[in-house]
Amino acid sequence: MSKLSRRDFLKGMAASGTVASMGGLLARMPMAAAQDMVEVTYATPGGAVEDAAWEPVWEAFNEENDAIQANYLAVGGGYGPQYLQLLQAQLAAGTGPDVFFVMDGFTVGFAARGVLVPIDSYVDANPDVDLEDNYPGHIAALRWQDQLWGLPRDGAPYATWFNADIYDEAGIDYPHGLTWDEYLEQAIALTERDDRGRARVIGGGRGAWIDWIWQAGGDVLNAEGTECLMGEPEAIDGLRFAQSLVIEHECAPSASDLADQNEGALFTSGRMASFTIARGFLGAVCNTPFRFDAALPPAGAVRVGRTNVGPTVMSSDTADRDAAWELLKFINSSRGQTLKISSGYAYPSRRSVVQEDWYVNFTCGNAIGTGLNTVFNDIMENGWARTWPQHPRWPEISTVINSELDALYSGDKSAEDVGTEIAAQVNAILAAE
Amino acid sequence: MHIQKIFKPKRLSFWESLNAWIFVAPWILGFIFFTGGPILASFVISFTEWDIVNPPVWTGLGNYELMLRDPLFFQSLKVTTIYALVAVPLQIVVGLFIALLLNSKIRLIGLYRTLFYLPAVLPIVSVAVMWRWILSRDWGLVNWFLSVFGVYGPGWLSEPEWALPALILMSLWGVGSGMLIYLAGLQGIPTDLYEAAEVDGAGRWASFIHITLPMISPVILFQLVVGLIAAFQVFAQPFIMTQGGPQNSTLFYLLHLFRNAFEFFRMGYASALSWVLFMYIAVLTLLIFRFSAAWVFYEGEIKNE
Repeated sequence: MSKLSRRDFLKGMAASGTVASMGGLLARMPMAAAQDMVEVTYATPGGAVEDAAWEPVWEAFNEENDAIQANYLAVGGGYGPQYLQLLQAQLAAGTGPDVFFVMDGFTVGFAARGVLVPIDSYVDANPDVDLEDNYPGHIAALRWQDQLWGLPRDGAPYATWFNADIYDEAGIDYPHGLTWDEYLEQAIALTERDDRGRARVIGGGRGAWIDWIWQAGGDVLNAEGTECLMGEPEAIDGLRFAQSLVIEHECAPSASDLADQNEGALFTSGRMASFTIARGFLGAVCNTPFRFDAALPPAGAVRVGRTNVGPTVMSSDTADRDAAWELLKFINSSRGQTLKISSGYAYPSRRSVVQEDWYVNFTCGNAIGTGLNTVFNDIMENGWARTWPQHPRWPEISTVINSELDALYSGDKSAEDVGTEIAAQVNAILAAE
Repeated sequence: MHIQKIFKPKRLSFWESLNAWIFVAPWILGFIFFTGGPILASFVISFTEWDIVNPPVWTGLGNYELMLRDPLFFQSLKVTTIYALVAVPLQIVVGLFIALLLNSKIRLIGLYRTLFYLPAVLPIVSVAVMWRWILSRDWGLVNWFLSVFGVYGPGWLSEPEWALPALILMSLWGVGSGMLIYLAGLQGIPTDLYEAAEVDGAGRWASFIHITLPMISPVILFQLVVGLIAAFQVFAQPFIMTQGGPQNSTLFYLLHLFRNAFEFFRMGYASALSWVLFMYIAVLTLLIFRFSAAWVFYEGEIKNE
């Protein structure tokens, strides 16, 4: 075997480089030939179940639009901060999607950074959008500084899911429309812990912290977003009740309970009698061996729970705003939502979709009633749902709140101290705006 | 003078020089564009307010001033410093101890060495997930072991006072790589030193203190410096296992930096944090080198002359 000289090696490397470059150029040529078709990309975290749910939407859109090709981009990162990081990196690099999903509470941050296109003029020019058919709360959550920044692709009000087997075994009525006192009484009666505090059954979940504050009549920020209200008596009442569930009565999961399994896993493994979450949870609960249903969330001073929105927004970097708008409009439309949700478990943002037979008669697994199809609509139509506070600095605000909630749920701080501390820290963030 | 003439490097021809440059070019270009460039860029960015998407706005020393008013900056610095001060010496002691045990001539020594090194090559994410279960309050291995002696263990990752010690304990999982380096150092110690000491009546402990430790002190210095730098760059474990909680008790410096960069999109502030960390590590490393002369011995070196 002959030895390869350095010069021959370098020649070979140069030749390989030339071939690779030519290959790259050739690969780009077909794209130039397809210039007459406008491509628009929609991005969402994605995943096996979600990818399959979107498939019929793209098929229908591409069939109905000769000049627009919709592409689906599953960015990854899950429904958490990592998705936003990946998305932000793509937008910064100029390779971002044309239309994309943003998690609740983050829409305003994107709008404030100039990443989004306000869509009021498109909505005004397209009466078929029919904003009235969307739940007003969902649309309101997408308004900021008197402009509309997106449309909902679905909605996700939170209700109380309960394990009917645990309730029957304990001889306790199902938790339909409870007051705080009734909820607490049930949760205590349902909880079973051993002498070391290990739970066999936990009476109920911790609930979304913001629900307790709203139910007590409090709020996180004032209407203008200029002041934190967590130090107010109503908010502190909510924090106190939330803390009592975990510390005083031990009928909600402790930090150690949650270190092993999150609330969803505690519920689906049959270790928790009830907890609040959106209808999308059906995907997990349908496969459980126990009987279940959904009920209204408990009521304190008022009956209210959170709802997510599913914001779908248009990038200000999109090459063809009209084409991007067409895709955004289709995703929000009754047809788009029906195509996606009928193969999945989400909750629509359009009232008309909720009235359709396939939705009203939906059932799965060991569901014992129709609560899973009626309760969420009751919550929305009766105004019992609120959306996350909107503020450009929300990621920092929620980091402060979550850190202080650790102290609340461990019992290291009183509800008063936690509320006061959150208010002080959040007001410092707001003052720096 | 004669030796210098003999070894004076021959001047390379143009083609030889070109070949050399072409061969090193990938590394040089990679360093300039992917390491050196971003390092310099981060320094400039640290004087700006930048959200990635919009153009940066010059703020001068604003980010560095902000750091002085950021309680989480001090909390993260405290957490990371405590971790480094406890975990690094602990890793050195445990790594050296295992290396001493594995430096003996016993059966299946190769198997033992492999087993002790194995954890060091496992992916950190899977290790972190496994340790979450090991440290579980109710069902974890650690608390089960304690319960054998009638002790009810704490919620290692859910109680603020125990979360950092738990991560320090977990850091010992990776001592295998250090152990391997100690082992190499131990095997480089001439056996005649031990034989001479034995003739002089020295016991095992005296041999360890007066021969083993001084002879491997350069290795310990290396491990100390590398371990310290690694300790200040801990990220994956708290990110996966605790998210900085409970109550910021495991808010490591890089986690705080990461949040500012990629959750709050404050790239300028995050860059400033990274430069302060760089300076902090550099100063500590310089101090270690400055004081190493007192306890590190190099072969052929004569102290106090």
